[in-house]
Amino acid sequence: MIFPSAEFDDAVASACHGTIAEETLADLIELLRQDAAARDEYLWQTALHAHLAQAAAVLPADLRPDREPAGEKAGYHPLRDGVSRHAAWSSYALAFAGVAVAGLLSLVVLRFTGLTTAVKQATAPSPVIAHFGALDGVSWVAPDAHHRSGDPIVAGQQLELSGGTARIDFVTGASVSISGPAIFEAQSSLAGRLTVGQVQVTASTPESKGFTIHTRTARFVDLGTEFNAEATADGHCWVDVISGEVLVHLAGSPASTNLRQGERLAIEPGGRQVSVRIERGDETPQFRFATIEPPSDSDYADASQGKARAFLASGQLLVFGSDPAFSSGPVDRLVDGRAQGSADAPLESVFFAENVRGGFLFDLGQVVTIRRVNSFSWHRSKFVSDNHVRATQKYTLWGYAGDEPPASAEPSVGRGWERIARVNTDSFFDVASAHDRPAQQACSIASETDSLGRYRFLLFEVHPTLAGHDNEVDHTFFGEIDVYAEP
Amino acid sequence: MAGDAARRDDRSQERFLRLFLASERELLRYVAAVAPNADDAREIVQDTAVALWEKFDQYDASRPFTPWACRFALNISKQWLARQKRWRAILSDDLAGQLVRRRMELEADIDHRLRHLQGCLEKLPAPQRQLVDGYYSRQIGIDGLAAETRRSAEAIYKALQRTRHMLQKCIEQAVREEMAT
Repeated sequence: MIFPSAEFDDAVASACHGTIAEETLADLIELLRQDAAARDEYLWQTALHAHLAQAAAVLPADLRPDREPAGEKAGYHPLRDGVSRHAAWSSYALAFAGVAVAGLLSLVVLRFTGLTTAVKQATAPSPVIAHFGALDGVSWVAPDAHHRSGDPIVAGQQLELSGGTARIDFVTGASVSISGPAIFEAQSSLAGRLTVGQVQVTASTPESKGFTIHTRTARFVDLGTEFNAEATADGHCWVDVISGEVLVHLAGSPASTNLRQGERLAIEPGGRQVSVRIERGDETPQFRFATIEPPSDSDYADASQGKARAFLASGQLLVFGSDPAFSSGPVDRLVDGRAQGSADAPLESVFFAENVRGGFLFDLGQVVTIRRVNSFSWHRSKFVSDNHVRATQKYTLWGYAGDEPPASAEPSVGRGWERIARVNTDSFFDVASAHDRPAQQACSIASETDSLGRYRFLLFEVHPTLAGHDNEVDHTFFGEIDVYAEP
Repeated sequence: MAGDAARRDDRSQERFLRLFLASERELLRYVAAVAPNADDAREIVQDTAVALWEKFDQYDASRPFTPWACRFALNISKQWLARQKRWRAILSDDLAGQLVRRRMELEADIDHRLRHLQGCLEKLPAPQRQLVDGYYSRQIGIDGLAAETRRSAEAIYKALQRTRHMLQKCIEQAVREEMAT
């Protein structure tokens, strides 16, 4: 490769797009090492690319496509469980985000993705696309921000809330309620970018059909409906349809998924977009669900296959001293090909001691391609029938491809483990009280675009499941975990 | 780590927030010199933010925050590059260090040129503006744009490249005109 040349320009462009071939990159790096002028041009071209990537609203509304393409469904089969929903956000939603630092600090981590750049500062006055509606206890990050109900909002205006709820009324009739901490950019009368935080979107007018919320990893297109969405600092996001339909496009993919009332899709950041499907069961030993298959003895991790083993990685399973029948079963219950035979079967379940965070480690024996992971839980007390608090599932699934799992007891991104998915069925079922938890639940983790990845080890980092009642123990009764994989 | 964060007082968080917000654009530019793909650069700056917060109690408030943060960003960038098989070679002979230092030296000049970007974007014909909007704002991706416009991915890629060339020429022309007046 020489400089200047079209080949050099091509190489820099493909580096910016993330598509550069290994050999071309090696040539480019060698050229940069040797040629100071090439380094300067490389730095200028990459700076231009970076600024374009930061300049969110390049087009005025009249040049934007007003309707998203229908696209093809990506193999996702929506579920219908009839769960009623309400618009209130669950109190632990931010904790579920799993970001390294909580609350206000999470604003920091991704704020730059929605920066108002020097580019925008140089623009002519932008058109008014919305107005502030009700402002409920709002505190703004910028100390000099003083917005009031009725104030206009122009295209490209960024709103940074450290707390409270702000409603934005768009001129098309769409309405977005932003709950802080949040960073939201009003891009046009039909679009907004959610960098971090939670929004509730209502688009019931004909003019607002197609209203789109962009996140780092997906965009949610409202097809005349109401939905909730959340984006966290690390790129994780989810959408929750309250009524009507929402079209979900994964970033960088032509694939789309159509969600209907009562459905949720969660998307993990990274090369693979991961969906988490959650359903309530029929509360029978057959574990029947709307679309998720029942517990299986033919999955890759099942003990009968002789390929994988399950261990307790951390935490302490409950041992009930006075009556062993109330103690947790051993970890290999998770891979015995069947879940519980009844609703209150401690010894057929695997569960941690109260308030304990723990982990189940699956060693698959070799690096395999993970297609799908299903987890099952069931609990309804045989003594108090309205006590069915122990079927909730709250865990983070991690993967590792090496021969020995990292020694650290607490997995985290950058310490060898790759986060595959986060599961919180309370959030999905919009549980206001632990007593609203469905008694039998299944969670299916899969990829909308490919596999979940190639790993030898899977770690289920199980979170405490506090029910909030002193007289009730509450850690999840896991009955079975199935791993569908292939070498 | 979450427990540690919870123990810190709000004032410390707010102070960190203000300092970081003032530096973050510079950090992103700094990192983009060795990680030109926007998603990669964002990932590195996210990790940098977390690392800065973890070490914030070691920050000497009598010294400027940005250079302190840039040192973290460079370390995190190098860790990231070391994990990327294809990019690892940029670490040899401290090329990564050279690039970020040179980027800092060129910053004023690059900023000056980029001030003309919006005007040049507005001069683009509508199809090219829609292309830039689709790729950079709506983040549809090459394949997505190809599907949307019923063109080949290669055609979209070339069109984007031509559009960036148009922008570069327009910016250079604007800078020349500005210097002449």
